Amino acid sequence: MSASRLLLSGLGALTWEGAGLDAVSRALAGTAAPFAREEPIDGLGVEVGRIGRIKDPDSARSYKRWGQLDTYSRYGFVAARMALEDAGLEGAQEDRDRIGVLLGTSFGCMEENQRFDRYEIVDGTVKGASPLVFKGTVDNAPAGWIAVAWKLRGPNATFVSGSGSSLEALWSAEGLLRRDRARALLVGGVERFSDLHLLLADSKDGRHGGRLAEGAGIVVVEREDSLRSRGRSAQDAHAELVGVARCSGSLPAALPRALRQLGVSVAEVGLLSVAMPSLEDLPEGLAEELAPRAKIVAEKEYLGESHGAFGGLALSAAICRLDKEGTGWQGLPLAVIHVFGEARENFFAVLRATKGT
Amino acid sequence: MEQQGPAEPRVVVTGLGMVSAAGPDVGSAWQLIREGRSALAPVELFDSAPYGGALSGEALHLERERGEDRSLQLLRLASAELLADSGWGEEQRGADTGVVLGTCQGAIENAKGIHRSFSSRPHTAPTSEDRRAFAEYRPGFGTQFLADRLGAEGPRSTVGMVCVSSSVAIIHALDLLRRGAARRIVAGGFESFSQFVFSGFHCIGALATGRLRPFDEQRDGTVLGEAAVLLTLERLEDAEARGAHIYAEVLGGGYAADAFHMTAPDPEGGGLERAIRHAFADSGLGTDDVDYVCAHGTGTVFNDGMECATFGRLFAERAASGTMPAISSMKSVFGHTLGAAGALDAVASVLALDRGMLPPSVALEQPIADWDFVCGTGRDCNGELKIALSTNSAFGGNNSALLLARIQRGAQG
Repeated sequence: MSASRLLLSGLGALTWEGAGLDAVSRALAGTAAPFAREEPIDGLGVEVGRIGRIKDPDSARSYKRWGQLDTYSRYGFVAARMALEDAGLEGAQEDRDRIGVLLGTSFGCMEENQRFDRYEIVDGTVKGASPLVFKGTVDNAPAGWIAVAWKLRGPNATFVSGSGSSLEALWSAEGLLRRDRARALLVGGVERFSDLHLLLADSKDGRHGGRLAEGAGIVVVEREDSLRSRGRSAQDAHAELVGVARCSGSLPAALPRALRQLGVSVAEVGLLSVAMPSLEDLPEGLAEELAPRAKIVAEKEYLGESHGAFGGLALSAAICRLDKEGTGWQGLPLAVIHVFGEARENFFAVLRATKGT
Repeated sequence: MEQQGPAEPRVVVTGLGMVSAAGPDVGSAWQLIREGRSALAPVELFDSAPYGGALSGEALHLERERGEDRSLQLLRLASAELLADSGWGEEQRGADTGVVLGTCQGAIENAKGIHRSFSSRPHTAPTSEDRRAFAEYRPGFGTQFLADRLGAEGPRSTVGMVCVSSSVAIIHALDLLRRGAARRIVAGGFESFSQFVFSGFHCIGALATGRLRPFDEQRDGTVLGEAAVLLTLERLEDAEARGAHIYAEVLGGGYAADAFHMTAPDPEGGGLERAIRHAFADSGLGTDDVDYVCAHGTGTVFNDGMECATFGRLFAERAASGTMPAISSMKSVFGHTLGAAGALDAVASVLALDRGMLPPSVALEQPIADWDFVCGTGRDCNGELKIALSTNSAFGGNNSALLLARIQRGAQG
């Protein structure tokens, strides 16, 4: 393992409120426009409630192949471009063999699957299945397009492990970067909801729930030696990634184990971001037990339930909540971002403020 | 890139389970490989005449269950063999046991119903059956399904990277074991043969008009198959302590992007070479160590050409000295099983190492010029076969490489 620290050097976020950290901040402040009421599939008359839909993002239309991208890939593309620009890597020409993409999603390319299926065989006749649409019927489409567009030839993977997917990608990225398999990785999650999802998914079961919202949250995680080679320092980064822990069990049981795994003290934690639909779902008294000095937030209250994208967006939200001076959360150096994995698993990403360090 | 020796803990393969066109178990698959026969047959699932395609690798020995999605049926049957073969019992259930699978389209056959009913008019309100089909259609569902059956309460991960899904799943499982997130893992992949994917491959012109002939001058496309392929991975010390049969050691893996095109491979194979070099760095091995390459070998002009360019460049010195490793593809035996393909190739490599036999590339008649080291016939080679490299490539420009080693019999005590 290499000793180089890992840093969040770029952030990209796309939410129902718009693109960028300003939109995330507006959502967190509760000043954003309310979710829109939606009725999927014209004429069916099925009520699905208010959805946080992303309006077709047009900020990347200048990309020559933009017209070939499916909507799910466009979401990831826009967030990736923001993250690369923010990190100052968009125009980098050197060493792209060592820059990669690791993304997560829960529902992936379902919308394109449905589109493609409409046009295959009807009454024994091939009706014109489209190669262009077929290209979008893979869960790894966003990671593929991002790699193609910026010639990112490093490690590239897509996890489809439910709502923990984006932090699972971050867990993997941490291992790759610490083993020096890459200098920087775009990491996060993307979620686009198909009509079928809105119609048929029971998203209020289990540990998930809340209002559905689409999203893409992608960050650049970079080795400190890479950042230094570009003439930047850790203080130019948004935060340090201390590490990602995965622990099974209930949140109160898993969090202390995660912090022990990562070698950090709960007394240093100034922000605990939990993946509950709202803080009302956190049993009374638990807040004091979990992180007595921390502000506890449930970002899904503001950003919505974006499943596989949520972890990536929650990272950006934690940066938005950094103290104005950027020196910490509640004056403390650590933030813990939690998401639920599959079944009883939890993921915890721990960030450390870099300013003043 | 930092070069590392074999990482601790050492991880070994102790059990196999496989349902494929060859038959309901690993034994029937190995028998076909040994005998150099193909399981490919005319498409039965639907009328393929409108496509002009002809063959598939369907598991025709297996009657379709009503209600249960075909992919889950394959997974269920493979897991039964896996448990019996690995000797895992009650002690191997619980929070230290994880499941990591790869798939391309998961439960796509049952999804067809909901795709169609909500794409046409008049609509009807969703039924409970529609909701169940949708729940099973989520890409990670197969992993939940299997983990629940096995009582595995540890990490549950799913990789969605088309044809490298299950090889990356094995690499991810290795990472989980090395970093202590689990003590043992069921890794692998599953894919059912579907009209959906068949239509897709047809519309991009990737289907063979006749036989599937990897690395042959006359190759003209691939044939789609179906399979569920599973491996139990655990620490060497644990396997030895319980006296398990150890098939092979997993030495390392790597994956990398072409960053070239969404559906066509980089003709120079830059991404595949980078994936292989990552695997070398992960395992502390180099090109001189490889005895056998289980290549992706889909039988398409572009894929096989890309692999020839990659292996030709990577092993140039060995080719010059007449010590080129043998190379073959399993696709002409089983068809291209997409999300299960990486695990299938890994199992073929594991069996080759365990049984000391070089698997052939079935249907190879006229090797691509200067490619006479692709083996068209199998041969016993006992102790000569020590290290196997299994490689895969996928839409999206993804590539993966996995290094496996024959375990020294003495190491098992």
